[in-house]
Amino acid sequence: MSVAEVERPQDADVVLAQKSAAGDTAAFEELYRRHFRRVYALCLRMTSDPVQAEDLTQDVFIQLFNKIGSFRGESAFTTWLHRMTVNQVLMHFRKRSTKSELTKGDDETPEQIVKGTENPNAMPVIDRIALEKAIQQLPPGYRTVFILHDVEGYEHEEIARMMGVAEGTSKSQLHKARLKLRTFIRQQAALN
Amino acid sequence: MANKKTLDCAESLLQLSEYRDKALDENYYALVKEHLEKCPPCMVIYKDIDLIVMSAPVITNEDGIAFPDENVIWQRMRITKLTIN
Repeated sequence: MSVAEVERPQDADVVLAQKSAAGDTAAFEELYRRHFRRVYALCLRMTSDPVQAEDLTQDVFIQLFNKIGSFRGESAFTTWLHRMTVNQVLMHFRKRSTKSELTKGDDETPEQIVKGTENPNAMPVIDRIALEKAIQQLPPGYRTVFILHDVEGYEHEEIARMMGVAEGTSKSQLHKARLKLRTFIRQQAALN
Repeated sequence: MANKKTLDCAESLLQLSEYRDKALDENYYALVKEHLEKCPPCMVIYKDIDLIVMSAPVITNEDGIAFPDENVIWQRMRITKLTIN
């Protein structure tokens, strides 16, 4: 079956993956072009760094090229590629630092809220720019867990497994990430 | 935890994410809920966290991302991985 004959995009992905695995580089290039933006955007969300995101996107597709034969179609191709991308970024984080950046900041205690010092006003509507700016300020470990859980929808158990940390660490980092984001967003709103 | 009757602000604050995600056991969930209902400052924090979580998917929107040139990256891969072509 050719790509032109399939109706659903996910079926086209399967056909292209099979052709790629059989050595059809044109099919692989089409897969690349279909998924390039999604992979880059995910790398950018996880790193908050366009240069790293670009390098990682390249690494993901090289990895994809080498592993395409192991795609069995048991999950959607996009799910499989998404997981491969997340793993590639996590591996990059692990390689980059001797002290794991994935747990960096974990010994911090959540900020204590002193009664009467809180701004009782509701937080303003959070737009994408404000949220992205706040996420960029998070320590890498906090950012990773926040993105994986609250943006990409992974469960703590999966995150813990992928990051090589305890499930409790994932939960704790998520909570601290949310509190820090809240602080950053409120600080930003106060300046505007 | 089972014998606890009430939570103070510090204890409540530690649990707000799991409370929001409905990941607490029933008894502890009720304790946090009770604290929030009578503590406006903690309720403000809870609502902020909820808003952040509700807003999080907005960053998956690809509008406004300055994507690099996919042709350049494709070419680079062909150079570094000769097996591709």
